[in-house]
Amino acid sequence: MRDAQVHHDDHPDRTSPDAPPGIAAQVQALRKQIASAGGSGVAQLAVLQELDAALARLDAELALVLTEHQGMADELIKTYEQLGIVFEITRHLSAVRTEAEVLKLFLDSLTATYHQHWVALYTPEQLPLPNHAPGSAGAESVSAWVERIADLCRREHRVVVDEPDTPRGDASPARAGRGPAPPADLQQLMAAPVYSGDVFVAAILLGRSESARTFDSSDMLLLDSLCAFCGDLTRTFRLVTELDRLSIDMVRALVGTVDQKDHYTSGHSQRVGHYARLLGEELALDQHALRMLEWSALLHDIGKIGIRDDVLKKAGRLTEEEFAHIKEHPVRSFEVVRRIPQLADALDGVLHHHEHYDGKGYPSGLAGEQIPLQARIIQIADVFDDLTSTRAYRAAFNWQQALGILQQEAGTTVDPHLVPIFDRLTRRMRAGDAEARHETRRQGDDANATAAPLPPAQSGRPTGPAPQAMEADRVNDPSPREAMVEAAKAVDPDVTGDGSEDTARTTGTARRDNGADG
Amino acid sequence: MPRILIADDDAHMVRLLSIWFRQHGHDVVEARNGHQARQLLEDPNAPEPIDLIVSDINMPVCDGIALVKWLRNSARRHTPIILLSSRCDQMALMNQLSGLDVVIQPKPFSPSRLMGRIEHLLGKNATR
Repeated sequence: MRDAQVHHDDHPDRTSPDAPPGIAAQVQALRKQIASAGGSGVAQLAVLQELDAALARLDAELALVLTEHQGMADELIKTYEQLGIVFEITRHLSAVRTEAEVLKLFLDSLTATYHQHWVALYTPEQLPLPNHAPGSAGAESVSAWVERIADLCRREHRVVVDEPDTPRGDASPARAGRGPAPPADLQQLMAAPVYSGDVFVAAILLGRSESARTFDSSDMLLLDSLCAFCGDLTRTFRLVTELDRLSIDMVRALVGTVDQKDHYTSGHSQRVGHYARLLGEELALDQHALRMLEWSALLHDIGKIGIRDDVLKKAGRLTEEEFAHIKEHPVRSFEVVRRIPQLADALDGVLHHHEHYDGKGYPSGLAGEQIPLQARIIQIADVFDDLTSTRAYRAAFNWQQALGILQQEAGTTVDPHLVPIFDRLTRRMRAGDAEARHETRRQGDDANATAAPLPPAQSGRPTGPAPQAMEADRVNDPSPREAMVEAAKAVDPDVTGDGSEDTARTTGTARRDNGADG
Repeated sequence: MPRILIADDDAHMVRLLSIWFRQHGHDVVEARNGHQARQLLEDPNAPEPIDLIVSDINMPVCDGIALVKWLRNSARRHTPIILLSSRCDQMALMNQLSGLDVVIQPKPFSPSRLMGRIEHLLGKNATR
């Protein structure tokens, strides 16, 4: 019989470089055996049998390797999954503005990954109190079970996986409506808590029905990592919100000290900030403009800290020199706020809140639309608060009288386009419900809109008042203040406009009628 | 069974995606670059047509962008294609691919997300 030699020299004398070492050695050994097999049929048969057995072993090893390979591929895919989700969330983060949006982003991401599952969020309010007894005797309803698991993950700070072991009962009426309604056919539930530091924020739940595969350790790992990530982000948001609130509260407090130099003006800046903000919202200014408006209004009189007390509190008529000194305060305020780069967009109102629509204001004598909107808004708010406050020289007007005076001053002192808007919103406000509405909106705003930090500094800001001569002779003109008292009388004959009948006093103390002075 | 063409010069990525797509009941063909992809797409002896393409952008010989441009002018112009792009590609992509019908999937991506988009595209195309 001819040698049934395998032409092994056609093949490279090694196996594929990817093959595991053990297999390579076996194949080598086999080839050597084949090469050295003699010519007799018996020897060849023995070799063939050896080959057969060796191939069977190789086959088994290959199967093992493939299984390992498949397992590693699965692990790799799961890791990619987690990584991909984290990156996807990160890509969307720049658009997120509030804590609620953070939670929603994570929920949406989870829902997209587990699109055939039930995904839900439990907030702290929806979970039972620590000493709450579990549901009534008998079958635990689905809602009760879900609630219990959510609470469990909260208490134990870990991922929980659970199946319902009691037969499904109907949802007990007492439970209905407390949390999100789970489907009746839930077979398995996975829950993880979101913690911001030590504070429980929410529990995220994932539920599957019969048809989906069982949750495994990689599902738990994914949910766990996402909830941890979510918790870290929430914590950052809360810190930023607190910081923001702190800075605005601090400024309010400090500004309050300036106002308190003269107790008639106590609280003035805060009220002006409040009115200005309302008007800004009514004008549908964007969030940034609103924030800058509020800062500007809060700080508009900070420069009064540099005004001499004797001038600031003078009850009688001001001399020309004293009046000029008072008129410095917008510039002084400007010099203070100018040092804060993040408040560059708040400078307009600070500097120009004493300009008059007819151009006869100060420091720059701007007129009409030349006056920045921020300044025109603060000016109206300023005048209104001044009119509705008691002064050393006169009693406060009521708000209706103040609005009437604003009407009369439209076009001369105040912006005639803004007056009707301010009028409308003030009437609405005073109708009673607006105060409450503003409070809730303020709280909402604090939590949401102020979550963003102060914006970065910008260049190209006004460097000071135009180098025009200040209108030093203004003080000699008949005070528009007198005209305003007359106007108020036209609206309401009972107006006296001051605590006494001394109209000369009224004229002389024009300086504190911010925006209404000559 | 839908057929998906994977084009990427990264052999490991091709292998991984191949396993993932097969697990989801799709048939897979593999290409190492845009040129090979075109050959596969134009192959008259192919048992089944290719229903969807997933391609990387940076490949030798013929990259993902060139592949899309060729595709939209070829007999296969209605084949949905997903391009896998890394972050630095984004801006250039917007310019080069404007007006072309192509889906961009940023990397790193979650495989399940990708699968969701694939199923969606396949479902949409099936009605043609």
